[in-house]
Amino acid sequence: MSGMETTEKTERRWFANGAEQFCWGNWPGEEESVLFHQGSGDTLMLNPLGEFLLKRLQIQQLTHAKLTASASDYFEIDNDSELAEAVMASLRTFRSLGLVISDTL
Amino acid sequence: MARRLRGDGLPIKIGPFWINLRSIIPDLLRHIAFFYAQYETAESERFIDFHITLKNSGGLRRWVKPQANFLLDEYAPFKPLPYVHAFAMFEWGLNWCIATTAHHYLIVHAAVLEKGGQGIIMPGTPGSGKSTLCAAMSLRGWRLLSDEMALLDPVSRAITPVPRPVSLKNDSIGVIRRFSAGAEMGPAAKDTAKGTVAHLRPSLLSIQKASITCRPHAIVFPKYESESRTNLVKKAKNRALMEIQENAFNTHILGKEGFDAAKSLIDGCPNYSLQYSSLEDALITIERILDDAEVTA
Repeated sequence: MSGMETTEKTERRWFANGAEQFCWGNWPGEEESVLFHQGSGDTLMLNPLGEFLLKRLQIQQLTHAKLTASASDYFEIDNDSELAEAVMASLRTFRSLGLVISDTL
Repeated sequence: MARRLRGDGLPIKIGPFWINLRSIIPDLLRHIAFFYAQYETAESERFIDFHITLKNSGGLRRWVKPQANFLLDEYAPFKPLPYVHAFAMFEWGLNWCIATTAHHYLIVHAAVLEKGGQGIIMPGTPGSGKSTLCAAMSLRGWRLLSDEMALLDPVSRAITPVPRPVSLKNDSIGVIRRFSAGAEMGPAAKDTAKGTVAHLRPSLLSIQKASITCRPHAIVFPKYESESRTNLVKKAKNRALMEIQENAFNTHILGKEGFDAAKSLIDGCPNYSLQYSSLEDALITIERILDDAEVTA
């Protein structure tokens, strides 16, 4: 793991890029959600983790560590390195799509 | 008609749009005479949505491998095409005019047909068999609202018709000729960017009822698979919404309003995937959708 990644995990704060620009489509019994982001004009299908992360960041700016802990509580799974990696991978993907922005505390 | 096309232009009402068309290209004049003779035209000056001219390329291209240019007002959005493709160019160009300007609708790349007041929306990517199925349905009494684009009112969810010739490509041309002896087809344009293209004339009923909107009853995502048996399955709403978004021309312009309209459409209709190879079987299956909104083949 590079020093850069460690810095991102421990010190960066993440937030939604235009929280009011997220439009959601969810239906009971369907695991994946549809997100339309008005800013980018993109429509994406998200797994439950991706949906959870973005909806949390719409409400609140959070560090990677706090997001991971929050996901661990919500999904009732261990807060381990596997989850941390999955959260970071999602955040990087979302950042590349212009859905989230990271800042430094 | 030909005299006016050659002169100041012929105003033609196509669905909710008035176009003024000018051209001296003989193939296009024949195309208009064959396909648009039954459409409403205007004698006097009126508001025109699209001033379209198809004209010869200048210079040497008037004589050597002559080409046609499509102009909206004085703007040429496309590269010239061979002269013999002028009528296909007109139809494609008109699609572009509507898709790039009519943003009071959510515009979805889809065929729309109606029977008994119930509309079936059939989104489809090229090669899905959408136009072939649309042509077959229109030849069996369904009212054609569009072969190419669903114009959805974002608020009322009504579909506004824009009935025009059904564009058939390659093998579909022969399939529809064999399907119905009553299919009135124009000449084929060969070696276009989409292969061989020919058009099917819409029914007189479709043209006469072009001002009557319809409510969507179901969304059917067709997929032609050679040698397959007809298979209709319910489609998850999230997958259906993704496909509507992918087939929509202007969600990026309409933003939330467009997304909400697409979502409302999905919420308000059952959604199906239809795999087919037999037009006859596919038609029977779609008729059953009208009788019962929750059917499987």
